[in-house]
Amino acid sequence: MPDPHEAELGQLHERLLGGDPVAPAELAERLLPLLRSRLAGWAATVDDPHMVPSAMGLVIANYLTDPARFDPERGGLAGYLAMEVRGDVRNELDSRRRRRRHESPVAEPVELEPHGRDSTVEEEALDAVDPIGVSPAAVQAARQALGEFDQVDRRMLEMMADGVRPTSAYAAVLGISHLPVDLQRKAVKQHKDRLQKRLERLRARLS
Amino acid sequence: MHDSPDETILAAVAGRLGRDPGFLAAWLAAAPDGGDGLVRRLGLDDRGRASLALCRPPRPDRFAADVTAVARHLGVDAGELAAGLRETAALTGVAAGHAAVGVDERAGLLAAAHDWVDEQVAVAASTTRLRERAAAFWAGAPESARRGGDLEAAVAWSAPLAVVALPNLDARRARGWLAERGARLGDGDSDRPLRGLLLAARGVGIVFLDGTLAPADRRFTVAHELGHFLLDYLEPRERVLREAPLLLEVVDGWRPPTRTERAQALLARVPIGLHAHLLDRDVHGAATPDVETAEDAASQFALEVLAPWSAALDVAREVVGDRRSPHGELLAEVTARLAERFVLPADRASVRAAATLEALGVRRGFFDR
Repeated sequence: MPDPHEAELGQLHERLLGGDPVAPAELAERLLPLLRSRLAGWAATVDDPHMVPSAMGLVIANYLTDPARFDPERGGLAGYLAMEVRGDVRNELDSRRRRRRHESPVAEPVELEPHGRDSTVEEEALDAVDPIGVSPAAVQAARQALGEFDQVDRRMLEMMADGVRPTSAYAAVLGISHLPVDLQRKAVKQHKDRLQKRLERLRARLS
Repeated sequence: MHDSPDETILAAVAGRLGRDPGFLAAWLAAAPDGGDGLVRRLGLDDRGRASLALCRPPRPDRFAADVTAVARHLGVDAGELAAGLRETAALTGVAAGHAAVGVDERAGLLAAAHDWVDEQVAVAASTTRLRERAAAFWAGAPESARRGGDLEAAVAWSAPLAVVALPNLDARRARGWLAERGARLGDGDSDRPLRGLLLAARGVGIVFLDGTLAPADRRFTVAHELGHFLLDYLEPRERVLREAPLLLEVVDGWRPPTRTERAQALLARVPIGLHAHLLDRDVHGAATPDVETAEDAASQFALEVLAPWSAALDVAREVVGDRRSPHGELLAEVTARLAERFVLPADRASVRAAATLEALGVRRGFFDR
């Protein structure tokens, strides 16, 4: 059954090709709920809740920049873009898996304490450095320092550990997506640098 | 996906388009204030900001229609959007123009202001040409601005020029206003009182005017600086664009001229980098006499814009009718009518009145001398 929205999207697509100044905004605003609806079930199976929205943003931006890449003869716009989002997310997940496979462990796997703490990515990363031979006092101090990371820092560290690259994803976590892209990039870099330094200091305590 | 609201994703889309000149996102990103002034002016929330950034910049040949369409989409006033876009573009252009090759950043805002003698319109402007230019200016404005003779509203639609009123204008205040919006233009400006100040670069401009001026003086100052912008800056630049497009890089300050280019006559008549013009005022707020005499063409253009010739002639014709009053009496009455009808300063209305009476064949008699 043909999508009832496709006729409207088709008209907007034609306006976009014709240089209509409002068509990109109208299309982006119209496409978002349609993509959400199409991808909702599948998106729920993706572990990282930021990955699908991030891919939606990327796919819509790419389409607006080069609308001629969409061929209306081959199907509807929402379907085409949903397929692009799925493809981007799958590629990103594959890429993450490949990266993890190729990462050589720097130490033997360490069994984490079964309970008693809320294990997080940064803790696991820290533990993996070289927990053998570290004094209990240093480990305790490091754990205390780790507790000082707030929710935003923890989320960013998870994304860094997962190899997430788009600035926009970090900007969304920091709540600065409304800023111009240059400022976003600057703020994200500053935040990441700060986190790296804090991790380095922690590693130094363990060494 | 539930934790990524639409405005976050739309902002991310806009962020990705921030380097593509085909979208307003790039305009906003390039502005010294990141577009914050425009967003504030329009009262947009995060979603509105993203929506604005996702629109395409208005096409120069369809500026009014495109701005109206974008304003309707955002639910904002079209005139405010037009003026805000002009202001954003002017800030970007002036900031870039000041940093251009050949402009001494230490020398302050007025580094590029010409000497009094040089400020005259370089090419003698015929009355016909000025009238045509003035008519073309009003033709680009929407009916609402034309009907009410709203000059500042018309400027936003018809010229790539922003108008900013500051109380007790001087160069320092203008520089401070620019700095607050991220456009830092060096230091060292004087605090001598000004009626108006024009800055132009890269095809756009900004007119500062003294916000304490009476309405008639304010209108005349805007029209006068508009004249300088169109006649002294924009037209020569457009001539370069037409006749020697490669020289535009030099005119806009992207690179210095080569020795050969420096010798070209075309380049000699075009302001390079940041173009500035100022209109001094005396203690009473009037323009100083030396400025008046040096700027006939810009002032003539201002009269053509504010009191179009045929309309002014109609007013004079109504007054004169079949009367055989003394010339002085007719002049006073036509002056008063023109001043009231077109909101002109009295001295300017008198100049216009004298010209219309002359055109109607009403000359000063022996006893009027």
